[in-house]
Amino acid sequence: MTKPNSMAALSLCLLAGCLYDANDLCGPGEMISEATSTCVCADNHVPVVRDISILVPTNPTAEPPRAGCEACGTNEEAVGNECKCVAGFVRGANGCVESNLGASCASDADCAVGDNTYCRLPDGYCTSTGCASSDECNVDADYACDASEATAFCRRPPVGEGAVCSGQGPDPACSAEAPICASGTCHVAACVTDDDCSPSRDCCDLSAFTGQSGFTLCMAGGCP
Amino acid sequence: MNPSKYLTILFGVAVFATPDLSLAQDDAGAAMNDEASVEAEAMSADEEAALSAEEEAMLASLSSEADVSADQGPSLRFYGFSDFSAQKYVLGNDAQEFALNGNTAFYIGNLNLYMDADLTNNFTSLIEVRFLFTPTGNDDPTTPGLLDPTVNPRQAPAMDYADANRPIDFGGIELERVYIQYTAHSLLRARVGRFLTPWGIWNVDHGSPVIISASRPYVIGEGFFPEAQTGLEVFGNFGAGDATFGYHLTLSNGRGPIEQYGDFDSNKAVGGRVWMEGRWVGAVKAGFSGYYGKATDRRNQFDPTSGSVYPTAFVYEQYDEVAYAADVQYTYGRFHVQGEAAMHDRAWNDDARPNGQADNRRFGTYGLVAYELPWFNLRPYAVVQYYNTGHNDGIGGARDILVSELGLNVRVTPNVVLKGSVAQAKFFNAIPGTVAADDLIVASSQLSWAF
Repeated sequence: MTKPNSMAALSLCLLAGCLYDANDLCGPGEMISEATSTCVCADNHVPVVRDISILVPTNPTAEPPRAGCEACGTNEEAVGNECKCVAGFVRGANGCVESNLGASCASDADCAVGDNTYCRLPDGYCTSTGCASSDECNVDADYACDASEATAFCRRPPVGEGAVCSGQGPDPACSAEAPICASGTCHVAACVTDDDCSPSRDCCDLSAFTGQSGFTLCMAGGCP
Repeated sequence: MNPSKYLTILFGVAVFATPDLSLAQDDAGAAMNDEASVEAEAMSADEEAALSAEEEAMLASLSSEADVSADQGPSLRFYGFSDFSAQKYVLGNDAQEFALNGNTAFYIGNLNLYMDADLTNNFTSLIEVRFLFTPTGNDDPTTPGLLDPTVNPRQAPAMDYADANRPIDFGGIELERVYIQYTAHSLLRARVGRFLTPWGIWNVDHGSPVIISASRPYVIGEGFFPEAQTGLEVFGNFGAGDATFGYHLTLSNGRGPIEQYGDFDSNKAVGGRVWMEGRWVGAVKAGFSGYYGKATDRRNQFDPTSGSVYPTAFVYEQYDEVAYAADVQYTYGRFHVQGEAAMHDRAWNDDARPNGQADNRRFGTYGLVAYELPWFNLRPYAVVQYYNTGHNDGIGGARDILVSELGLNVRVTPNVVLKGSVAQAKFFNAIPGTVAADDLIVASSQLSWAF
């Protein structure tokens, strides 16, 4: 907010209280959280990270300074601090384009009309084959290259990973593929390396926290 | 120091020590009432008779200007105040146990020294320094804290090189006021340097012997206005019948991380105060204060990809603020009542807003009633204060706080004051599990003195 000069601003403010607008308390793309009185990104918005050169972050897990939030584009949804394509769409040169990635299938014939022609069985979803690394898979959708079989393919993230839950440990609210509830979301357990997790996650050894030797989870945002 | 200076000081002390028990408001204290001092010349004999001991001391200093001659050089006076307190929090929940120390604590709260000089007939100077025990005992942010409680979280003591490098606790100092003042006329005085922001009653009259309650009302210390500013203050007053009218105008660096000696933006802060004092049925004094400023935190960054070997500066955080306050004080015989109310708005620059910080409006007020009994200089008092932080987690996990306090102020001698009080804080709209989830009771006693 730029003021013409201090005296004029003071005069105006004394009369009208010009600085404070109860209907505009936050930056662009933000809204006030009534519970905490803090500004949070509005629905389907993600933070706009400020252009500040942080060479060695003191706290790597801290959110970088943001300059408001921006709306996700067409066929995108905010997931954490990123805009990701909604189901049925993948990132293309001009935003999210329709795709059959992850679509249900019973055979390759069901995937033949789309851009992902391989039906992964017995899981039953359309994906692609021939990847050499996860970079060749749809990172936006968190697909990882699985080279453990004769034909490498892009493997979808575990069903239910990241879903909201309320307990600690095995939780009926979580799926079989991500059965462990921790910090309010469902996680994949018993990973050995990061390759056992989705690309967006790290394999974290939580033995020190749980007292169980070898207790590991695939966690987003770095290990605690 | 020549004998005449000794006499000047002794005279000042004698006047200072003269009891004046007829007043309901007056408290012993150092010459720390700025408005009183600048008003003094304009006051009538009757009004002067109603001055407090501390004001008389200031008058003495003003009258001594006439004694200053070129060959004697400027006079210099040292005086000040201090206070010793015992305080106990009666804790009501785990969060309070964690955040506050429930054991009775003894402490020296203030030790302020004034250095006051009459440089010429028109120039005076005042320096106020507060001595503190901190940073001793403060938490050191570089220690692991809760992650490893076996590591001492507090600041390490220094080594005393003059005593075999034995550990020594070291304190700090705060330069509260440093200014030179020029008096052209009672209507026009100017001071440059660091001065207390002229707002309300107890921001400038901040000496503990002057404050009726054991401590200033919470909202007065909440920074609605900057407590002090560095820059220029112009002020004056004039009399009209039984009334005196006055004004203050300020121009300063405003708030900011280096506001004491620098400004990270070109927008100087401006402020002002108008006040009036009348002696009709009792004495009434009222004022209105305002302030506008821009606070800027500038940082430097280095971008290795830019090709430049020099860091560049950028605005990291910035906000505009405006504050208003009104105050009124009424004294009739032994009866005294006063109140202040203040509001503060802060609006962040959207390009330099800390994550999550919303624009904010705060409001705070208090009212105090006191009556001096005819025996032993006893003055019971009651204070009610309310503070709306404008933030759901603004104070201990609540948005609003209402504090009710009952106390007793006893002027043991003209410059020694004993106070005792019990205050109950009630929080509103509190977040469960926080300090504010339950009422908080604070029992305080304080012995303050001017010297």
